[in-house]
Parts: sequence; C-alpha cells; structure tokens
Amino acid sequence: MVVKDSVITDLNNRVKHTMAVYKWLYSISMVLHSIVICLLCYISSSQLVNITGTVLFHLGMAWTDAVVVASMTGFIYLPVILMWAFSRGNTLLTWVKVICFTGITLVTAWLAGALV
Amino acid sequence: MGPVHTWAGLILSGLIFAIFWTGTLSVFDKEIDRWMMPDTRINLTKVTPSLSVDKDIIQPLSEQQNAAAYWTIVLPRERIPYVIKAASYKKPRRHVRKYFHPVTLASLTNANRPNASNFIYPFHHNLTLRKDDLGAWLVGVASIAMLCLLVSGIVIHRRIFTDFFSLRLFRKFSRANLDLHNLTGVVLLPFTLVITLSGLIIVQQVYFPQLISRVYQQAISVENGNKTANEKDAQRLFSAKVLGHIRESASGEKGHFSSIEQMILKAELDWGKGSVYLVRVNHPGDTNSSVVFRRHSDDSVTKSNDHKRFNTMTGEPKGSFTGSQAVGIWNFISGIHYIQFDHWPLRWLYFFAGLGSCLLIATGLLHWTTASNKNYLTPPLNVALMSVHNIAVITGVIAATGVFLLTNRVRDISPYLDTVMGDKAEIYAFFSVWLLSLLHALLSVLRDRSYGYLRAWAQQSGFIAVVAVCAVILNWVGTGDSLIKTVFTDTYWPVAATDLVLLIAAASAFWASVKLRAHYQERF
Amino acid sequence: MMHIGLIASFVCAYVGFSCWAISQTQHWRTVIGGPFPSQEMVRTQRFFGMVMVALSLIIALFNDGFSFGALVWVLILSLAAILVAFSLVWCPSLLSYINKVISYFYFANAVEKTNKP
Repeated sequence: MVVKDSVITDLNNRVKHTMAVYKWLYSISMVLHSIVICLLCYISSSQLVNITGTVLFHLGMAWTDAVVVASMTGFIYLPVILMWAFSRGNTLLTWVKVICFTGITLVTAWLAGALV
Repeated sequence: MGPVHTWAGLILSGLIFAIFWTGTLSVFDKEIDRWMMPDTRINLTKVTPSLSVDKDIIQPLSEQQNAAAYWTIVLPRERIPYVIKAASYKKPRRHVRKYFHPVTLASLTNANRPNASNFIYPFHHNLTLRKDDLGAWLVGVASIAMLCLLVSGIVIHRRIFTDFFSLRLFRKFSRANLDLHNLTGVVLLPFTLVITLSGLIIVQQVYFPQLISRVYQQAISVENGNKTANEKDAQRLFSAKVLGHIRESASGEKGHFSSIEQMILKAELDWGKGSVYLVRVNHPGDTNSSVVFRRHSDDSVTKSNDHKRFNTMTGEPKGSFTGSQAVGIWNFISGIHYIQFDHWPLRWLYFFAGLGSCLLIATGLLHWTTASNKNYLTPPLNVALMSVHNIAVITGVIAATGVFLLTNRVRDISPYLDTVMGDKAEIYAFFSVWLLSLLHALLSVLRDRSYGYLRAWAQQSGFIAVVAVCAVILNWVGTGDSLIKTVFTDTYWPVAATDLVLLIAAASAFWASVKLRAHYQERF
Repeated sequence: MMHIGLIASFVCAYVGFSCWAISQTQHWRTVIGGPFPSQEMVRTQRFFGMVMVALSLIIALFNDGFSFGALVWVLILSLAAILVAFSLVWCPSLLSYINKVISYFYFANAVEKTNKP
C-alpha cells in the first residue's frame, strides 16, 4: 500500500508540475476533472439507490415502498460520496478511488438486478 | 486553481442564495398573493360563504365547460379565500382557470397575475426553467453543494460550543462577518440541513429516476406481454402507485350529476367537517364519470395525498386512497418543507429561519471572497469581479423582488396602465432589474477598483429602501388599503404584514446604505 | 393569551441559553465582571441551562403535540440562541438580571463566594 501510494503521489506531482507551466490548461482541466468526478459520484450514488431498493424488496417491502425509501437514502449517499471523493488533494488517487467505486457499484447493482 | 475554486464556490453559493431567498418569500406566498391581487383580499373571518357546490359551481361548469376531460374545483379557505374553477381539455391540450368571489360569485378577473405562487415559488424550485427539468437539476446541484457545505462547515467549526455565542460585531468587518456566519450556521444547522434534504426528497423522482424506470418498465412489460415500456410510462405508473391515481376512460355515453354536496358530506363523515378542499370531476357528464375529493393538511405536518372517489351519477363511494407507511414518511418529510399546515407562529419561525439562512449564505459569500484573496489596495480584475458577483447576487435579487412587487402595484393606479402593461410586466421587471444591478455593480467597480464595491452596495441598498417604501405607498394609493386601515380599522393581516415587512426591510436597507456610504466616504 | 405555551417555551430556551452563555469565560466577563466562577459553579450553571432547554421542549410538546411541538422547539432554540448572542452585544444587562434572579434561587452560596473581595 505504501509503495502504491508513493508511485501515485510521484506521478501526481509530475503532472502538477507540467500543469503549473500551462496555467490556463490547468484551470480548464481542473474544472473538467471536478465535473467528471461529480458525475461519476452521481452515477455511483444512483447505483447504490438501485442496490438499496433491491435489497429492501428482498427484505419484504413492496416495490413502491422500497423505491420511495431507496430514493430518499440516495440524498445521503451522494454528499457522503462527494466529500469522500474530494477529501484528498491528490488528483490521480481521486480518479482511482472514484472509478473503482463506481465500477464496484455498477457491478453490484447489475448483480442485484440479475438476482431479482 | 485558487481563482477557479473561489469562482465555483461563489457561483454555486449565489444560486443557493437565490433559492433560499425565494424560498423564504414562498413561506408567505399566499399572503403576498393577496397583496399583489387586490381583488382577492377577502377576509373569510368577516364574510361567511354560503356556497352551494351543486348550484353555484357544478351547474355553471356543466353549461360552459361540459366537453372538458376533467374539472378541478378548489373551495375557499383562509389562505385562498376564493373559488377556483378550472377545466382541462386533452385535444388540443389546454387549461381554462377562472376565479370567483366566495360570496357574491362575481368573477375575479385580475386574480391570475404573476405573483408569489406562480412566479416566486416556481423560481424557488425550478428557476422557471421547465424544459427537460433543467431548472430542477440546477437547483438539485446547488442543494447537494449546500449539504456538502453544511457538513464541511461543521468539520471546520469543530469548536462549536466554545464560540457558540460569540458575536464580535464591533471589530474588523471580516471578524464580524465570520462570527455572524458561524453563529447563523451553527444555530440554524438543524433547519438548513432538514430544509435542504426535504427539498431534495420532494423531487426525488427527478433526481433518481433510474430505479423507478427499471422497476416499473419491467412491471409494465410483464403486464403487456413482454412489450417494451418507455420511461415516461414507468414514471407515470410509479406516480399512480404512490398517489393512488386511477386512469378511467370515458364511456362516451351521456350521464347526469348526483349531488356533489351529499358526497362531500359522506367524505367528511370520515375525514372531519370542512376537510374537503379540492374536488376533481373526471369526464364530467359521462356515465363513467367519477368525483375525487382531496383533504387539506391544516392539522398535520404531513402533506396528505389521501383522496376519496365517488361515482358521479349514483353518488356511491368507489374507494379511498391512503398512502403506505413509506409514502407517509415521504409525505411527512415533504410536509416539513411545504409548510401547508395551519400554525402561524411556526410559519413565522420558518420565515425568520429562512432569513437567517440567507444571512448565512451572504456572509459566507463575503467571507469566501476575502479569505481567498489577501487585502489588496487595488485588487486585480478577477477579485474585483468577485465583488460584482456578490453585489448582483445579494442586493440584486432583493432589489429585483422589490421592483417585482412595485410593478404589480402600478397596475392598480389606473385600468389603462393595467392593460398597457400586459400579462408579464412584473416578470420582465424582475429580470431586468437583476441584470441592471449586475451592470451597476460592474460600472461602479470598474470606475474605482479599490472602493467602488462599497459605493455599489450603498447605492443598491438605498434603491431597495426607496422601492420598498414606494411599494407600500402605491398599495395605499392604488387600492385604498393603507397600513392604518389594514391594521386598525378594517384589519386584514396578509396585506398589513406584507406592508410592515416591506417597511422594516426599507428601514434596514436605509440603515445599511447610510453606514456603507459613511464607510465609503471615510476612505477619502 | 393564545400562544402562551410557545412564549413560555421560548422564555425557558432563552434563559437556558443565557445560563450556558454566561458560564463561558469571555461572556462572564461581559455580563457579570468580577472574579471568574469556580468549575463547580460553571458545571451547575450549564446543567441548569440544559434543564431549562429540556423544559422548553416539554412545554412545546405539551402545547402542540409531538410533530408540531418538536418542529417548533427546534426553531425556538435557534431564535433563542441568536437572541442571546445579540443580547450579549447590545444588552448584557438583561442577561445579568436573569443571572441574578437564577442565582438568588439556585446559587445562593456560590454567589456569596464570588462576591467576596
């Protein structure tokens, strides 16, 4: 874990140095980075809503109730995921974290849906 | 990275301020409507409507709107003291809505102007951008940002109790501003957290549609023998399950009406006297017509979606709907946000909490601008434009609201003015003044980058004070309802309270303008 | 009087928060001046503050039922806390008067101790 972190940190520092040279490119890329990370967080929270709904249905709730409760929990998931995603300043690590998490939620939601 | 980060925060917070400001006004949207539509200033404690639903409402509708797909009738109540008769047609799709005095049944022709209920409240939840729910999505993004800001604010301000009551107003502006921000943030934390979350939860169907689409598309395709169903139908089926909507088709044969009043009495045996506020007649005049009654939510926090159906021809009950427990929780959370209950002190508390939240956001905007930029004697253009943004967002939207109300009062000076102004003068005035506020701030700041922002704040505050006072005066001149009349001689609190709030706002804006002007002149 | 329950709830919340505020060093200095209180006095004052806030909740629940009462109480707390903060700036004498009244009933011994030369 320590080795993986320092490789990513080193890569991140090199990217940062290049970006600092081209200030405008850096600003635009930061804006795009933030937007895309937010979209990925939204997608993962939406998949978590799907998973929650399916789990609640399997626990015995009617579909309507499960959908209503799961959709409400979505608004807890989304800010938590957003704050977790943006909690460290390391851009590359953020991408790795968020892409992995979104992938996991997509797969789990597909599995949960397939098992219904 | 710094300026981009600062600007992202400012623009999002600016949107949040506009949402909270219009939301605070929406707490008293129906009272502001009374002020904006003098025809509807009907005090139901002084006049008792002896309305006959069958004779005074159903009969005229049968004569004039008998080809409609459905009628919607809203019966008069304290906050909506008139009768609304609406007829909706399917092909071509159109709605006809008319307003009537509850006692004389005279038509209230000026009851459909732009007002708080049909402009300020929709602005609050969808920024009046209804195409493809774009406005709702922008409001959603701002609300999630607000939730993240609240949680990160708690983390930053960990020493909550040590500084809980600290308000160092007579030190430097930045210290006073930050203390006010921390105080309003901590003290109003339960309110802002719950109001933001409940606001999002009301519209959850828009923000998390995927689960609904997946579940109900599957349900529809199973029902229709594996034919693919579209998303819109899935959403409709979900609404039907949650709200108990039943779609009945017309038989095409002519039917008659049984007594709607008797049906209302039957419904009120279960719900309580005076609880029916909305009557919907589906396929009026058809043999397959049904009447649906909705009950008000005056005595509970939960915004009720309960309804009862009756056969229009026979008057026999066809069924009643009460949401499930989960839907009840959804309605309770929605009810905390909608505030449609009958509890005036609580409504005023919400109003003050809303104003406090606006103060929280405004102080946050000011702190965010100055914290990210050290004190320059002549700030760079980027930082100067941040001040322009803050002025346009804060005093801009307040001035725009003032002019929205003032424009409405000009209508009642003379009928000629009312005709010349057309239907949407208030809305054009609102957006024009908001834009002018931005331009005024921009010019002030470009003229004097060091202190031009102070001058703009002072002048716009002064403008707000003048507009608010003029609105009160024009209300008196145009309608004869002076403050003395509405408070003492012929008491009518919706109008009196609006006038009083406008005067208090004018006094505060004037005081702010004087202080800021003194501050600006000190620099020279 | 129509809303006496709500007013009583607000007054209890205001008194509770003022006790809590005065128990803090910087506000003790503003409101009362004189020697700082002992830790025991601070703890008792804060306990009393919590009791008053709890009483405010009970009154609100009795007045308006569970759902309305809880909603009203949360907002009354916010209003009371803001007004205490403003009182500390503009009329600390009001808070010192409240403290004197409470001290008379509750902290009789403690008041004597702090007023010792």
